[in-house]
Amino acid sequence: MDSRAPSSPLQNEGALQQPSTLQDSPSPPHPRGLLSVIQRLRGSPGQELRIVLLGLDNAGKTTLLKRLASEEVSTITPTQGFNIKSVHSHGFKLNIWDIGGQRAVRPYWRKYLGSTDLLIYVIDSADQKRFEETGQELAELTEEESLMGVPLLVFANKQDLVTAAPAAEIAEGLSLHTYRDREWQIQACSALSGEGVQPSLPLRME
Amino acid sequence: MYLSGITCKEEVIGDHQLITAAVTQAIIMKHFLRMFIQVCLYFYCKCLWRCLKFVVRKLTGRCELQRICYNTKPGAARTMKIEASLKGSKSKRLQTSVSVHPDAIEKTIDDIMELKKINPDINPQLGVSLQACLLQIVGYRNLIVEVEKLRREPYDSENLQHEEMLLKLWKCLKPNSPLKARISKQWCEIGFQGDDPKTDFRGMGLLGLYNLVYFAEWDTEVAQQVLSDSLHPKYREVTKKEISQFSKVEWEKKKFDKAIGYSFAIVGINITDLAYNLLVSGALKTHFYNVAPEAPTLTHFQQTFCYLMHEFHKFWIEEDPLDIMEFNRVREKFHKRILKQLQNPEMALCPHFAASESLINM
Repeated sequence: MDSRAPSSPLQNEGALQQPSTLQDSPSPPHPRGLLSVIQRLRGSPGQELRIVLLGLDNAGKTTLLKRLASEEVSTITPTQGFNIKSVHSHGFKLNIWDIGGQRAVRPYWRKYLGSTDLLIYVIDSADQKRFEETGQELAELTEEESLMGVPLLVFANKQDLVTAAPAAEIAEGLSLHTYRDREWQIQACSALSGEGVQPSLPLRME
Repeated sequence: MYLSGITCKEEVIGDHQLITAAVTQAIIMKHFLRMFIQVCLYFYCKCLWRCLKFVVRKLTGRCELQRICYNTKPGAARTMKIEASLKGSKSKRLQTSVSVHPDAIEKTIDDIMELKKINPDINPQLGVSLQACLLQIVGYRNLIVEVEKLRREPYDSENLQHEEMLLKLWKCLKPNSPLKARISKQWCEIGFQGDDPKTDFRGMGLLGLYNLVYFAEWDTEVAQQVLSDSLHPKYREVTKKEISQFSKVEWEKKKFDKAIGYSFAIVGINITDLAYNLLVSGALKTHFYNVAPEAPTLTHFQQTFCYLMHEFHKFWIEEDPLDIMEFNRVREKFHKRILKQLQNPEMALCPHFAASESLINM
């Protein structure tokens, strides 16, 4: 997959949350997708992690949340406010916050950013008309003080649609390679089918 | 100590692990025993129940179905007992009677009477009562199928019929301000998320649209009022005492907080999900068996939706949430409240419709 090789952002030692644990972490041989990011963040299992899911409305955040929690995804409705789920995975307790993406709710996003361990940004890869809008929202988010150095995982969702743009193209559109002070990864997926949601895609180790 | 049961590889695993393993085994054993006792108890009770039924039948000369019809007044209480009795029957014919085609109900009733050796000439009322119950039971099942079919049909903007319905929703809610274009920011005025509602129906599909249109068309006044309230959050009355408790920042925030309104259409789709869950879980049986004289129909479901929308709106105001982010908490609380109400077999979520009032005659 194209997304396998994100460019290497220069590591700014101070900006990464816990650089020492990152290196010392005794990670299993093949950490998987989301978990690879998490394990490198916090090291040993058994801890609680706060993950925030953001993105425009209809990007697929709630579907992704339910997929991560292994729940039925066929009766999803637009999110008013937010949903939260605790998922136990590989010894971690992940507290995942899925916050509504409609324009009227976006001002509330920043209320939920404090002490976040991982930001997941979801993009509807088939909604080309709103790429600019979603890029702007992401750019504003990355400027938030409370998200300084917080790793970013972008899901290029809805890859099951024929009109979906490839992850590499989206990464370029978002200028992800210009990020200097945070780790990032982009992942093509289809939350609806579950494909790519938990792939084995180990992040670079250093 | 009870470590003797575990002898494997003692030298390999440490003491700590050994104890953990033993404890785990003891817990598993305990669970197994408990389950075994429960299974025995279940069969014992079932056997006892059969015997009791047999004795009562011999004493009164009536079968369970007859006794239910004679002792329980019509409505949810009776129909639910009949349903449980039929499902729990040891006769295959009775078990399957709850899922027959509506046209075959008369024949089924005759079969049941024959099987239970009840003379229809001596008990003319029994057949009528049983038929009414069975119509409701079968009707409820068919309603689930019908609703599920609508839910599974996604909104399709290429489909003329779907588009017409969407435009009708606008006309009913906003009769005095015409829509300027099909794709327009105006849709946000009735509580859709963006300029094209087609992506907002999601997992509720056409069911969400049908419900909203029904609400706007048949209960126009209430729908328009709810919409207007959702757009113009009510004035917050704050007492002096409260003001002294707030910090200045909090007070400023509260004063200008306009967010206690909500998105009408989106909430409608969420309440559709709530109504759908109530239906599929069987919780709505109480309501439908009390209000529908025969089979409950889609109209009954849509009226229930209107009722839920109105009730939710009042509940939201009562709860006085700080902002829209509290929506799911309030929704969950509302859901629990409705579920609790529906546990009462007398309960009918009476929509205030003039049309449905005549239906409550059971």
